[in-house]
Amino acid sequence: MKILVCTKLVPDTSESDVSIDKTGKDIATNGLKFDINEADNYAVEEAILTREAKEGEVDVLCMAPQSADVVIRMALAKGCERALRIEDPRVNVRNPLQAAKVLAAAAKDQAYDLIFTGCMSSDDKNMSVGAALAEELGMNHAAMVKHVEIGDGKVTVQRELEGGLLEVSEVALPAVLSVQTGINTPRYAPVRELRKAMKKELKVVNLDDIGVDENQVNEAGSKVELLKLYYPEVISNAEMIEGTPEEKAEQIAFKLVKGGLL
Amino acid sequence: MSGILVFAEHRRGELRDVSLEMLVAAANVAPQAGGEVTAVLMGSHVDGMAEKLAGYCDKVLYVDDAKFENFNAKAYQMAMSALIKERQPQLVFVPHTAQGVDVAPALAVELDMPYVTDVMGLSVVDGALRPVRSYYQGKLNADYALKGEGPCLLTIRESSFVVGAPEKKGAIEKIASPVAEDVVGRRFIEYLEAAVGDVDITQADILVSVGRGIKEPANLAMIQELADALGATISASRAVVDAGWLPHERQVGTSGKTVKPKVYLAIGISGAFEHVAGMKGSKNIIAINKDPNAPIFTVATYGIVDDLFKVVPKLIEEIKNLKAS
Amino acid sequence: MIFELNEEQALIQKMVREMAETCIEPLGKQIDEENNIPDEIIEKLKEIELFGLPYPEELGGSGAGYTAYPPVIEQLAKASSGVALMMSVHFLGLSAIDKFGTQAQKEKYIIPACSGESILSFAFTEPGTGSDPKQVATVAKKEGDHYVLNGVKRFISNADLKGPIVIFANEEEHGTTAFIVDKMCEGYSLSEPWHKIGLRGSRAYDIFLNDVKVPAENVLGEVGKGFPILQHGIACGKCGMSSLFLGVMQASLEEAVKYAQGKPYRDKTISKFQAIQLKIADMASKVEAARWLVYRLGYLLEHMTSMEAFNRESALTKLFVTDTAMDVVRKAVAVHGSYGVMDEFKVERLYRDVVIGEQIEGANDLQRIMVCKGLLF
Repeated sequence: MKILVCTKLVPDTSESDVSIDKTGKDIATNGLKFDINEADNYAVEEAILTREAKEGEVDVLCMAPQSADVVIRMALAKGCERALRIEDPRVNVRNPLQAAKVLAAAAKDQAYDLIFTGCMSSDDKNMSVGAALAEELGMNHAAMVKHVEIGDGKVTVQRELEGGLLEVSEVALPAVLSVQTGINTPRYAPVRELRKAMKKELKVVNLDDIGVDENQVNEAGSKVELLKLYYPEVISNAEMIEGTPEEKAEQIAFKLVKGGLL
Repeated sequence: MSGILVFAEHRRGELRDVSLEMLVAAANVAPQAGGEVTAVLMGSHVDGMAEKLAGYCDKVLYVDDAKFENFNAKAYQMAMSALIKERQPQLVFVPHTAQGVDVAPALAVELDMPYVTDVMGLSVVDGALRPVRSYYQGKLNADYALKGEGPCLLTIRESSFVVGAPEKKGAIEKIASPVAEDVVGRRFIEYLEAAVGDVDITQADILVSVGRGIKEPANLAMIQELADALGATISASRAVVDAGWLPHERQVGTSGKTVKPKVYLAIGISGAFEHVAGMKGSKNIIAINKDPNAPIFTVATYGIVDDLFKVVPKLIEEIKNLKAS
Repeated sequence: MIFELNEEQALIQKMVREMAETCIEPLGKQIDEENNIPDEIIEKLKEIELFGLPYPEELGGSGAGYTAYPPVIEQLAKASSGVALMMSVHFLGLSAIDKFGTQAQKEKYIIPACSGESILSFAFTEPGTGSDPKQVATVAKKEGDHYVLNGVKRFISNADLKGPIVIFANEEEHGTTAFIVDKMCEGYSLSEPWHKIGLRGSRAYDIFLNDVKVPAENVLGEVGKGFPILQHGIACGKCGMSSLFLGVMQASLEEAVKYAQGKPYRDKTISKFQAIQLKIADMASKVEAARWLVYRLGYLLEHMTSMEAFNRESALTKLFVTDTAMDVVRKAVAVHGSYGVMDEFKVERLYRDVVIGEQIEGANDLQRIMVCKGLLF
């Protein structure tokens, strides 16, 4: 079975402030730590688990600058065989359809049976690249996948729906599966595998190498335009409780027990 | 090219709220899109749902075909594609849900449509539509412009538009199934309820809910003590459940349970959209968080900006005292 | 001159950081309180092949060299100093066998140690002596093809974990000699663990040796030539300890930053006040200075040219790092105010950890004397 896993490098903004850069259309990235997108980390693990169960090969694909190499090597150390990194500043990565078009061009000649992606990236959250990639490649797909069972020429997936309900569906191969966090427990690569990963193939290509017309995937070629980023207006009607921690606790306790909230 | 085509979502015989929310959003911008809002409902025995939709749009088209009884991304894509090509709407709305995102991206590629996802607001500037979405866990918003010719495809975020009483009486029209051939490549099998545990957080009057701020599972003991003092049930955000500290049945949010208790105590929960969507209907929300900018405060009734490890122990003591007196 | 980890070392550091943050950090407080490292953590360390980190793959090691050692111990120590201490003592014992052992000894002891099946210890200190080999009171008496050891060793880490221990004893004819002894053999017994102020999780014991029989083939190096082994071991130990206290101070810096950014005062957080900013800046520059001194020591350990030179480098590194760590952690506590000495905050634990730094692996005044060698005498 020939497997591909697509990963993305994202800034960790969960606990840090985000500031808008001079263009007004992007964020200032200085001081931010970049790492593999959380859902993609699960996708890597699912790809490797699948390979371990069914044999074959797993390639890892990432569109990112060189700083992503450490993330790619980590995937190689966990069990991926080969890596391809697409580095080209011309690509409008904000547009998930254009990003998918580039990924598809890099993947199209490899005849993959199964492609894994994360179900969303923590920065943009379009939840779109997997299905768009499938359409580009003429493959089937399923999004929000929380469980995978490989069958003969098909996979049975459980998709996570709202309210914790699961949808069980069958998808014919070849297919793209966008996996949800929590689908597995990502492993830690042991030191010897990390060292071996340094010797595995990591090829770097640009748009010309994979035969993509830049006008299709650059900002000018996008059918939507991000006009500006701005800070959302915070509307809060909350009554803020002030004082020392003890005083705050007292006030809330009083409201709860004596104030009729219960 | 005119009008807005809204693809309604239903599951297990129930129309999902987001369907009406999308119609409300569509009605707001209908003048810019050539006037008419058309809801499309694809399912089997869905006339009742069609009636409901009619209260919020100009026209309801419905398809009665067993292929659409349950969601199948492939079948939906074929149908949507056919209808869009036939009707040439200016705008197409699909919910930004587990169903919507399973079909919209492929549809957008197939028809080469301008595509903006997770739209939470729609404004009109100089006659042009400006979809609004957010980035970086809601820390920034972005305004978009749709370039080129329509149809444009937008996926609409749940709970972003307020649905009032029905005011319209749209015409209901049954149409032939746009998908005549068999659907291959994808097959719906069944729904599975998430493992049922001994606790049903949706039935609790008081929920003490914990998030990433709890830091480590050992601190759940303190939260349990608080819950015991209040006679409350413990629930959690996705981060706590993904870490394996509490079972999935305790998860509040879009991928967990939707809860509406009398009191919801959010402890160390920042309030990501996915979480808030599952608890904002609570009668009273008390939020304790260190970060004064945490989005949880936007939905809170009472807010405390402080270290939970300092506030909670005292809170437990005070509640016990007050209850004893 | 390249001041950065190479790609491979950076990758190893990243993996260990992720593992430590996810698997060890949540248990850090528990490890300290219970003075015990849960088995699940030892299993995790085995799984990622850390027990053999610097050693060659032929001996079952991970082959990463000693340069990777400080960045790894640093990451462990950020989550739990006890776990870092356990690993550091393991490498101390292992380094002695790796450097001075026969091929047979290496195969017998290093291979299972690299897989984590056995965990090493190193015992020199006694009730009557800390660092002076002439005062060693543990005696080794030759009887036929084996030696019989009697004596007491003090403050020994990993003494209760299965595996070999390098023990220094006074061989009655030839003087200081190093022996490889299997822990838990007959005649080997332990005191109750000492109640340590910090670096908890890795317990310190006294070891009682009562007629412990050691085969002659278990002499490490040559009979009577234990002193260079001791020197080498202690120097390696200082590399481990310096890495550990680097992690402790890095953790305290991160805690201080987090606290300052979260602690409200009137309408802003205390991070907006210069008094706090000045402390954070001092901490950050000191941590960075210490980091490069420690990383350099790892490099020197891997590319050692002269034992004497390395002794001096390890002494000045350990001296600087532990003194600096004391200063940095104290500042982190100061940023926290009174909360900094309450056990709800991690800096309280780091503060208890850091005070051991000046004493462990040779008190800092002894390090100063060693640094003066070659400068003054």
